[in-house]
Amino acid sequence: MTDKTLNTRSKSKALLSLHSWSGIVLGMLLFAVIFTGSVAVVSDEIGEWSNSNAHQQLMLSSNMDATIKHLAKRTPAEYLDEITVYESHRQQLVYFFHTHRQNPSGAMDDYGIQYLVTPDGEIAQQKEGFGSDIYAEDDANALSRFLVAIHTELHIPAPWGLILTGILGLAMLIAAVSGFMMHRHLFTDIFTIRKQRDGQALKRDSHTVAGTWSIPFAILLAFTGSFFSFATAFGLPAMAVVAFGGDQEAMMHTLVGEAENQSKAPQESVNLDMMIADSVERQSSVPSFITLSHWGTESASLLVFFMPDKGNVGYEQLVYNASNGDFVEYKPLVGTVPSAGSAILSLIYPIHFGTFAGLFSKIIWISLGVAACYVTVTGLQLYAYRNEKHESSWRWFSRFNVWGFFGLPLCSLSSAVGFFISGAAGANQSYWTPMAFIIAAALISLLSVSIRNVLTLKQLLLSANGVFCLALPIFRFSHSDVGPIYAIQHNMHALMFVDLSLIAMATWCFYCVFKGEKFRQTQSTQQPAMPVSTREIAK
Amino acid sequence: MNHLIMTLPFILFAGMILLILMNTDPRRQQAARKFAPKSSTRLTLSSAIRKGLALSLLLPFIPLALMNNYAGILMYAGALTVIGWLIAELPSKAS
Repeated sequence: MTDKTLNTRSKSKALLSLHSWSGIVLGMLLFAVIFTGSVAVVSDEIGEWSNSNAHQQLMLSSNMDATIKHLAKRTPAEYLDEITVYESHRQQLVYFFHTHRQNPSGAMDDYGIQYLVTPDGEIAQQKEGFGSDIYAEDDANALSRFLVAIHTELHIPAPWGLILTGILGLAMLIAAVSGFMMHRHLFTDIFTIRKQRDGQALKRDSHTVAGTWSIPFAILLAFTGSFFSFATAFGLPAMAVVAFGGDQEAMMHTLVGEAENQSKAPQESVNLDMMIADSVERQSSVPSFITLSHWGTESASLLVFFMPDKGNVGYEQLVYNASNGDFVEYKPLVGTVPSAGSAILSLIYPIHFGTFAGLFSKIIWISLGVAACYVTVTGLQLYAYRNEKHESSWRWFSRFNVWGFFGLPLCSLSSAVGFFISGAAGANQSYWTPMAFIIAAALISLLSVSIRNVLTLKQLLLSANGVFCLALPIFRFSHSDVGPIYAIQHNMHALMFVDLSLIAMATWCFYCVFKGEKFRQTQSTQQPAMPVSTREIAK
Repeated sequence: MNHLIMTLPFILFAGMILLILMNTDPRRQQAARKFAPKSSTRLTLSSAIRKGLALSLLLPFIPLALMNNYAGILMYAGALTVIGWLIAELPSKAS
């Protein structure tokens, strides 16, 4: 054997170790992040679905100019610094009059008064406080916010959650790159899934094929995800210390590209609705939110934010001079002039979450997430299969896999059940949504250590997933009286999409339960006559 | 919406090419033969044609780029990944 062959073999072995250990040690957490990430792709749709609502484009149909003038009169002058307006999931416009302050945790935050205004211009609710606190207590977003928070921070306190998800992104990157490098027949095996004697697909082949197909996107999503986590946990605070002597406000002014010490001389601002109509005409779509700065002064400006459209992937921000109504510029995301950094940054979020072409791109991104989940699941199952051939009937690693792979979706579904039940009971949905998740996790953990047969445990959890998937559209309907016919009549696409997805998932769960039972019956009838040894299966 | 509709034909094209590549894949056919050695005749294509078909999957990137349909490029790449994986997961005819 030549030195070159030996060298290649030792490199392959090292890569295999790197690939296996990065997967085994962090695999389950990685699965949690990827699974919840796939759900987070449709967080907006989940928000609409959980409130049985469809966006009414209230920013176009409401008299926002009159509402802002009315609200500005009853708001303390210090909060007129900046006004953010967006449409909530409960057919209301949210007006947040605020200034910027350090919150108790030391981070810069918005502080002011938030008004929830009905389409008729009536104030439905008014709250004063830090923006982060008001957002965290908003029941309309309770379910979607909770599911996104698991993905981004695993519900671990800042900055540790972000650091952990950043590390998980790097682990995914390592696993993808090492998997790519160590596979000798990457393209020749791309369609090959061999079968075992019982007709089941070989786990190694399933893992390799799914991994090979999803490598480019695994690298892309892992990189962008890590970037988000580390930029928020380390990057921005470090930049504030190094470049701005710890002055976070100055840093934000520079990043956002806003001049400091602008004129505060009073001057009537022009009609807001006219500027918004102009921006809508330019973009041919509806803005996601708007931000008014220094309203009613000489330096008043309006920023109108649009999601990607017309085949573009990045966001668009249109800036108007609110003192005369002139369109000023398409503003870059970072700084005042277009730059490569700003362009890349504006692409990262849409590429990571697939939000660049509406529901169509989101469905593709969810499928990519499912493929990545499948790679993680088959990778861990492969490890369990190879290492538990001679273990006791408890098969702890397989049990752990069943607990995670079937338990996490069940916990997520339970959080949705908690959301609806607490809503119907008039309780705090922001509290009961995560609590339902925790209660479900505790029950599933208890079941996982008390049911001896792993297959029985798997069947039970799968059935529960199916039942919950079927139950959720019923819960939603009983909570709101918005049924499928009403949804079709009113073009409630998000609602129909989530309802149909849940029904499809329930069908899949019951099919898997049926298949599992059939497999179990076959095994029990075959075993006495022809025992299949582990060695035979391995062959 | 136009840029989404313009991407769909390319995705369908990719699906068809991937189906042909899957059905003529020699390694897959070899693995399937183990279970059904006397199965019906199989579609075979020369290696050069298969390589040409595989390369044709890159062609849609050109019109999509010319149309400035960058969202379409990403969607096409994503759909190619997902369809490729799902097609590979389909059971072989013989098994």
